[in-house]
Amino acid sequence: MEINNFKELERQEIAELGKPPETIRQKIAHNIGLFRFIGDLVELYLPNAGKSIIGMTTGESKKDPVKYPNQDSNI
Amino acid sequence: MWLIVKFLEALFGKFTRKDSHALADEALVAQYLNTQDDFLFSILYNRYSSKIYAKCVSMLKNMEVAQDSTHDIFIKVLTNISKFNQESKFSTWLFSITYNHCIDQIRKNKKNLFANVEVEKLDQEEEISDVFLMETNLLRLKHVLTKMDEDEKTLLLMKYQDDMSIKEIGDILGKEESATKMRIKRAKHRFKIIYDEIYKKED
Repeated sequence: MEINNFKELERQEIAELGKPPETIRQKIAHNIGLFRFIGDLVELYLPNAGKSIIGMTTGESKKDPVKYPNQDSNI
Repeated sequence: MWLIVKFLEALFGKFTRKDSHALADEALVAQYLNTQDDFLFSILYNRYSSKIYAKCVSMLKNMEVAQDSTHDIFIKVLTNISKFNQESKFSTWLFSITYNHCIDQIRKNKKNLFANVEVEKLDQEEEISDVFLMETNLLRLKHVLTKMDEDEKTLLLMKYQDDMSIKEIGDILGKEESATKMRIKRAKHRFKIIYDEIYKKED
């Protein structure tokens, strides 16, 4: 088998240092949760917020005007 | 009935998760992209966190910065995992993110790392064999590497520790393959010069 002391050096360094602190894993998990939460918020509210902004700026509605039963059709 | 379904789901999930440990990195990534199951990412984290942490400590020489960098690297991996195209091994992709991150960190303090300096021609000189480097006594190897410039040391680690190809190293450095080859050749020469300075008398 080919000897490669670079790999052995790496193994030695990993053994000396051990695993990284558990706080790193916790921070990563926290950040993933935060990203997902923000993503969900954007997915839920952004389309409606967009519609609201368009509605407020143009003031136009694509819906047909409401016709009341007592409304004269000529008006 | 609902309880039975839930129980079977949990049981099936447990078995699937147990099997996940045996999966190759690339298969885990593919499954993670389909399911977004954090458990699959935690397997990858367990496989590589010690290695990435050791690399950060070795390059950045500061435990706190290395810990922050390990965190930042895994966040980068998570946010870019959909861009992993399976053309290279997952480990190579992860190491390239690690090296890029650490190089950026070092550049913040020492701006000439991998700078665009003219690489002197070494064609006339003898080629230092890979075997000489790889079979250097462990203590000597460690000592010589600590005496080398950070950029030259990093090149040797990419090539001999992480088995990266010339193209992959070139991509990280933003250099052509020929320029990358020349830099590696120069790093090997620097290694030999420092080795001879320290140990030639002893041998």
